[in-house]
Parts: sequence; structure tokens; C-alpha cells
Amino acid sequence: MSTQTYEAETFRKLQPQEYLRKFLLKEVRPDGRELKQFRQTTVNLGCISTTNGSSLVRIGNTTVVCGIKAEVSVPKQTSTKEGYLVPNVELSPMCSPKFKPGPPSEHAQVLSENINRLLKSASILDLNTLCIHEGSAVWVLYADIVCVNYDGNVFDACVIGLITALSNVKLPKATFAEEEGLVKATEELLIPLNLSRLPYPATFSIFDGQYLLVDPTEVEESVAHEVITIICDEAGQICTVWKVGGISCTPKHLEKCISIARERYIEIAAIVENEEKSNNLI
Amino acid sequence: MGKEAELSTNEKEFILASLREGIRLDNREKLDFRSLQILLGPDYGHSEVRLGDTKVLAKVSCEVTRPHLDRPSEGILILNTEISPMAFPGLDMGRPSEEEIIISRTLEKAIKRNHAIDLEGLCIIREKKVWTIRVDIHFLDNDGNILDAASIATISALAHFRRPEITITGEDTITIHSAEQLNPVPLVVHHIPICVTFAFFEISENKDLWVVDPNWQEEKICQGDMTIVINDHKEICVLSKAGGVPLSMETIIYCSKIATSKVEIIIDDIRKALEIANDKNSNKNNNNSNKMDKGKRVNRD
Amino acid sequence: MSLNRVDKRKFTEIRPISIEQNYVNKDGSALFKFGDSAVLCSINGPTEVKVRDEKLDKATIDVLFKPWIGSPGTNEKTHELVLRSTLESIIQANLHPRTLIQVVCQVLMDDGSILATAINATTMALINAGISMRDIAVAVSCVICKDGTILIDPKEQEIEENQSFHTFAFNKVSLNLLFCESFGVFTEKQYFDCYELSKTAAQEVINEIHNAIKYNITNGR
Repeated sequence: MSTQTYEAETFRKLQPQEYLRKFLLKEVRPDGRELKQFRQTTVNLGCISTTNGSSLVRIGNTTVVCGIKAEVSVPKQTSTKEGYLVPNVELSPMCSPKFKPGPPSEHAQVLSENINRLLKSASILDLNTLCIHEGSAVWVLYADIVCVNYDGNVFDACVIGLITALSNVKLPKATFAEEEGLVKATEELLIPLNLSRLPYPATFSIFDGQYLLVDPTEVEESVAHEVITIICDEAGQICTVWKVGGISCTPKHLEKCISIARERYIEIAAIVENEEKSNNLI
Repeated sequence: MGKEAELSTNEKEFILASLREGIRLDNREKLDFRSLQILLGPDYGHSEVRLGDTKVLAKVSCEVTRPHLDRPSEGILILNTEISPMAFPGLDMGRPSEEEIIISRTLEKAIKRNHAIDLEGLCIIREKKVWTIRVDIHFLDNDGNILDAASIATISALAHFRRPEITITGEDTITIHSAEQLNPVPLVVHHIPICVTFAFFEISENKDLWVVDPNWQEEKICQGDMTIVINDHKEICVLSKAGGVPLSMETIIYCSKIATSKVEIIIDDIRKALEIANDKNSNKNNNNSNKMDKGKRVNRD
Repeated sequence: MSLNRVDKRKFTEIRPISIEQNYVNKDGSALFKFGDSAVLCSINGPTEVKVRDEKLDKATIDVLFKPWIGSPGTNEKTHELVLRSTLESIIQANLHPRTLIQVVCQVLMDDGSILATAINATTMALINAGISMRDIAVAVSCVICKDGTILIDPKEQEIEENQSFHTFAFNKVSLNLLFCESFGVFTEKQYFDCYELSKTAAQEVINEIHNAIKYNITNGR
């Protein structure tokens, strides 16, 4: 039998795990990054003019758009002063062929749920500040997060998208006219939201129980099932630790992830600050 | 999702031959119900019913909502009968199955359309606030006749349930009191409808072959079934017979007489279970009673 | 700082565990209780799989999580993903290619820490069903209160007023972290304190599971 040689691409398709392993032995990743290197991240604020706040986030090829639309609604019977903040993640067939059209996939539902849990448990936005008139009218903020291009680590992109879009939101000053039962809003006075903290995430994959891959791509995600996400805030406190799959994670891994997540926080905060500055100039 | 196991031809013929000789494989007589266990509590409105190996759990919960527009002064009763592969292996999720439709329709008719629960009493402020009572019925294990077990679980859970007491404090505002502040109030149960299911195998002029409370195997081989819903006043509330073998008038009348006597026994069991559960709860209240509770009891005495 | 918990437990004490196997007539089933939190888990399989879900080299694992009250929502979907990815790393799925292992978790009573209860119930049910596993998963939840106290295995009432809520699942062999879900605001030190306390509590759960297996064997069911 003669030895067969494959094209690199064929090898990747046939033996995806072995393919990745060959790269990692040389401490480099298939896209040329080091193990601890994040992909290039960019943030564009206020890119959709029809929303009350929006942002576009790119992490490498992964692209997510977040738009926040404010509407007036009636509060719940039990909490008459609280407004609503409804995050929804959409993974359409446009971003990757692995998603089918129709009702939200499990992946999308889990992303929405985790984002919702982050918002609630870290009390990022006090819902009482969305009250227009107690018992009659409150703001409801629909945060639609749409993935445009899926190349792994979509959760990070979604969280950065949502947080930057929220800090970009400006609500018109609204008053409730009791006699008519109507809400009047004026576009002349726009008020930004008061966010208690600005948490940013970092995601890791563990491959073969020994390689810690930072910011995994779709190819890496599909073979390294052990995933860790850490979300930190500006004070270095942790808001979320989420870890699923695999059995090789130890406190050492977690410590390392947390320290990288803190470095990553500074990086993202700087990117966002730059974008805000250039936005204000225009 | 895998397919549900089916009975082999041999098994079918054996069960049928035994039935012809008046023998049921679980050693019951033709008119015997399996042993019935009703476990209420520890929370209000939590009922687990075991009918032989068939297990159904019902949980009642409540919240304050807006009423339906066409019935502004009535509370809302929701029965949730979603089935899962736990009791129905081979179930195709995402598509309503035939079993689910039959169970939810019959329960709906038996409990909602017969006004077993007083809904007008659940109105708090007309057109604005009413109680929505929700019954989640969980099917844990299906060894046949899951419908009868579900009806017993549902009505016993509703009878056991207590909703929090409320006071109207303003035009549109209410206060909901916790169980420590004010004793929770039971629902008003007008009557107790119970399903009794019969399975028919061979019906001919000289001999009818049928049983009450069919188990899973009997359900699989029967030619048709009939469910009669009878309440504690011995009134027929629902009679449901969808297809299958045709039955004579006499058989139906005979069946309904049998059903009446079965329902009497079942309702006795429910009442006993309620008494035991209420005793337990009042003991609990005695043990950690606060001043308010004590004050009340003194007044009553 | 409150000296006692609502049910007079110590801060690091788990609620009494009760395990009942063969609760329903399936290939395997178990009812796991942490005090008044109860989850029933049933296993069907390895059984026939639909062609669309078939995997050529291993068994398909399907998890369904049914809540106590209401219809399943995104919270239950998240629980399903967690359970499935946890099970995929411990079940020897390669032994049963082109089959289905169907796991159904039904909450029978919810008094907090329900995901941890469900993970333990699933572990117990898998053992009961005789599914080959390379390891078992045990889970414990904890909360950090506003004053910094860590409460292990919190009740619903204790979860309502907390600073952060954590659920940890460990494997039995190496006590590595299988799954972690922490939401709230906390420091790194607090996180690792929770980690260590949960790990200690998980050991108790393992002991209870051992006892349940022993009891089952000696009583011949």
C-alpha cells in the first residue's frame, strides 16, 4: 500500500481533532493566533439610526448587531413601578448553515437565557428607572441581538453588543397625562440609561484536557466541548462563571481564566472608550 | 425518539383468552379498580395519585391577572396537560399526540365546563384583577387508565389548594397577604366530578366482555372504551364514547350504575386524604403559630 | 449576620437527602430529594433512534426538563443543555452507537437548588438503568448572602435575597469541575470559597448515592 498524502483541507475535514492537535503541539492555532490571543475586536456604536441605541461588534469573523428599541407598556400587576428589559438572541440561517429557520434553536434560547440571568443577577439596569408613571406606563426595552456571521464565541460578542448598546441608549423624556391616559414624549430632551456596572466577557475552550484556547473559533468549538465563560466588571469583580462539558477543569484552570478575563476587560473597555470618543466628535 | 414497545400476538391472545374465562392478569375481578393512593401536600394544592402503577401528579398555583374581556367578573382556570416521554415513551415531542388531546379535552369538559370550581368568587376587581388558577398535571407513569388518575389528581389538588388572602386597599390596588399574616382561603368546589373508564373487548348478543379501570395491556387490546364522569351528587357530567364497538342501551345504563358506585368509593378516599392533609396542616400551624393565629383561635373558641 | 438559617441548618450543611429508585416502570428511574426539592428522572434506552438524530459512532443523548409549574421556557432549555453536555462527558456513549438514551427530568417539588437536584437525580437514574459510565456527576448549589455568608444548598427563600447564586457539578473520580453556573456579583476569593465548600458537600452527596446503591443491591431490586 502506498502512503497517501492529503491536502490540508481534506485532513481537517476527515480528522478535525488530530488536525487541531498538530497545530497545538507547535503552540499555534490554525488561524495563526497564539493560544492566549484574542481575535481582533471592534465595536461600532449607534450604527442603526432607527433604534434608541445600537452597536455592532466583531470578534474576528463573528459579527453581532444589537439594537435596542423602546416602547411604552403597562407594568405588571405585582410590580407597578418596574419597566421591562427583554433580551432576545437570534441565530438565523444567515449566520451559519447549522441553524435552521423557524422558532429559536436551543442554542439561541440558552444565549438569551444566560444574558437575561446576567442582566438580572448583576442588576445592571435598575428597572425602576424605566417607570414613567406608577401603575400606568413604563418603558419596555426590546434588546434584539442578531448574529450576522457565526465563527465561534458568539456569547462574548452578544454580551459586548448588549452592554455597549445599552450604554448607547438615549430615551426621550416622557410624561404621563393622567386625564387623557396618554404618554407624551419629547425628543428634545434625551436621557441616557444609568447602568450600575459595565461587565465584559471572555470565553475559553479546553482541548484534550490540557490546552486552554482563548476565544475559540467555530472549528475549535466543534472539537473542544469544554467551554468556560467568565464575565468581569470594572472593579475586577466577577459577574458570571459558566462552564459546561468535559471533566478536566480544575481550580488552576479557573484562576488562569479569571486573570486573562481581567486583562481582556481592560482591552475591551479601551476599544469601547475609543469608539465613544470618535462617536462624540461627529 | 424511540418507539413504544408493543404487545406480541401471543400476549394479546393470552390476555383475551384469560378475560373470556373471567380472569384478569393482575388478579382483579372485572369490576375492580386497582388500589388507589392519594397523597396530598406538603404544599397546598399538591396531589400525587397512584392507581396501581399509574402515577399522576397535579400541582395548583395561582396569580393575579387581568380577566378575559368577555368575562370581566370571572377568574380563570387553566389546566395544563402536556405529556412527556416519561409516561409515554416513543412520544414525538412538538406534535400534539392523540392521547394528549383526549386527556385534555375530557378533563376540560369534566372540570371546567361542568363548573366544578366557582370562578366568580375568584374575581377581585371587576374588569381589572382576577385570580388565575393554574393546574399543572404531570404524568409520571402510565400503566393504563391515566385519565381517571388524572381526574382524581386534579380535583383533589383543587380541593386541597388554598390561595393567599387579599384585601382591596384602593381603587386599583390590592395587598396579597402571606400565609403567616392571614390564613389562606380554599377554593369553592361546587361538586367533585370523577372519570371512570371502561374498556370493551368483544360485544355480542349473548356475552359482553368488558372491564373497568383497564391497565396498560388491556388498553392495548381493547376494541373500544367509554369514560363516564360522575360527581358526588351522583349526576352524570360527561359521557364520552368515541368510536370503537357499538354498545347497547342496557350496557351503558349498567356501566353508569357501576361507575356511580365506584365514584362514591373514590370520593370517600379523596375526603379521607383531605382530612389527613388538613390535620397535618393545622398541626403545622399550631407548632409555629404566631400571635395573630393565636388571637384568632381564641376568638373562635 | 444571621446566626441561623430558616430551617436551623448550619451554613455549610446540605438538606436531608432522600433517594428512591425504580420510582416508575422505565429502564431506569430515580427520585432525588434535597429536603423539599424533588426531581424525578426516568431513563429510556439505549433504544431505537430516529434517523435524523442518529450518530454513527455513539449514542444520541436526549434530555427533557419539565418544570413544576408552567410550560418549559428558556430556563428549562438551559437546564437541558447543561444536563446533556454533562452527561455527554460521563456516559460511555461510544458503547451504544446508533441508539438513543432518553432522559426525562420532571420537577415534583421546587424549593430551590433545582438544577443541582436534577443533576443528582439523573446520575442516580443512569446508575439505576445500568448505562455504562466512566464517571458520575454530583452537584451542589450555594448562595453568597449580602453580608458575605456562604449558604450551601439554599432553599427558595434563601435564594431570593442573595448576592450571587452558584451551582457546581463535580465528577466523582477526580472531583474536577464538570459544570459551573455562577451569576451575581462576587470576588474571586468568594468564588473559590464557594467552590471548596461545594466540593466538600458534594462528597456527602456521593456518600448518600453509595448508600442508595448498596441498599438497592442488598434488597434485591
